[in-house]
Amino acid sequence: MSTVYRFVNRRFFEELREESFSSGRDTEHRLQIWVSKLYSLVLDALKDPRTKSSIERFIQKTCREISMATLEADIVPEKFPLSVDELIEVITKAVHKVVKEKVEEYVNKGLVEPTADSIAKFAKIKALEILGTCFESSLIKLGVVA
Amino acid sequence: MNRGRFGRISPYKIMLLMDSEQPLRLRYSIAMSMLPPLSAALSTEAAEDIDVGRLIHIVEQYISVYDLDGPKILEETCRKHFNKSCSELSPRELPNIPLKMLSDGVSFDIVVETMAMLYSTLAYMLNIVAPEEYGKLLTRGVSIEDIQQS
Repeated sequence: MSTVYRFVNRRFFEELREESFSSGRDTEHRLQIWVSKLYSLVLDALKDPRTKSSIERFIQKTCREISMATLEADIVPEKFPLSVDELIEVITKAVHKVVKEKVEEYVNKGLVEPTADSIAKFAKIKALEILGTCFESSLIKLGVVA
Repeated sequence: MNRGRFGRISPYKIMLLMDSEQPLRLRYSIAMSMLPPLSAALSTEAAEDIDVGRLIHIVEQYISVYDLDGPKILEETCRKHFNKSCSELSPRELPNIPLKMLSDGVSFDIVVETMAMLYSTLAYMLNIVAPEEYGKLLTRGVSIEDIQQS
């Protein structure tokens, strides 16, 4: 008898967002809750050793597209395969670097104060947004088993 | 030729496998479930009728629409694992191409799209798609669970 997988529908991801965003004390905390929940689902999708590296490559490809669209910067390598944990590290570091480089532009747009704390907080939020959007988009395409 | 002794593949499976709106992991599990009947049919003289060059051309055309690098990845996989071009493979070796792509860590979407086109076209070429199953869809409908269990 074959295994039957039941996949959640897209409403699941909307509920996950709503649930995470209603419980945090501020934007950063809310994003952290959301990304952590998505990260657990990503780990679950990577459990099968036969598909692990291939799914990781797919998530890397998705993160590359999303970071390019969001930051207008090429921060995720295309050819060199990364594990999900390496990907998180690469994106977090690269976003901080890009934000520092574009700080004047962000200050002029009123998105950030010209202080070290404000810039660091803005970069952290941006990195969490990119990771969350990337994980969410990857999981919607991959399917989450209920 | 009597092909009744081979496992038949439901057309609904092929329909879901080719549906890009379905989750990639569902499509993957459907593709994997098609391997036993495909292998059984490929181990008989039915495999001799397969035009491998034409089949590979169809798969390349399809995946190039999905990803421009797709045909290159396909060819690199055949060269690396079989030491020949994909169109020079024997029909029996064909189902292994996406499995090798998978173990090489090729992006999952490209692997699944390759499985979808390769396995469904092979199933039709081997004449192991069960036409009588279409009637069930019209009379009672079929759930995804039915398809995964079949």
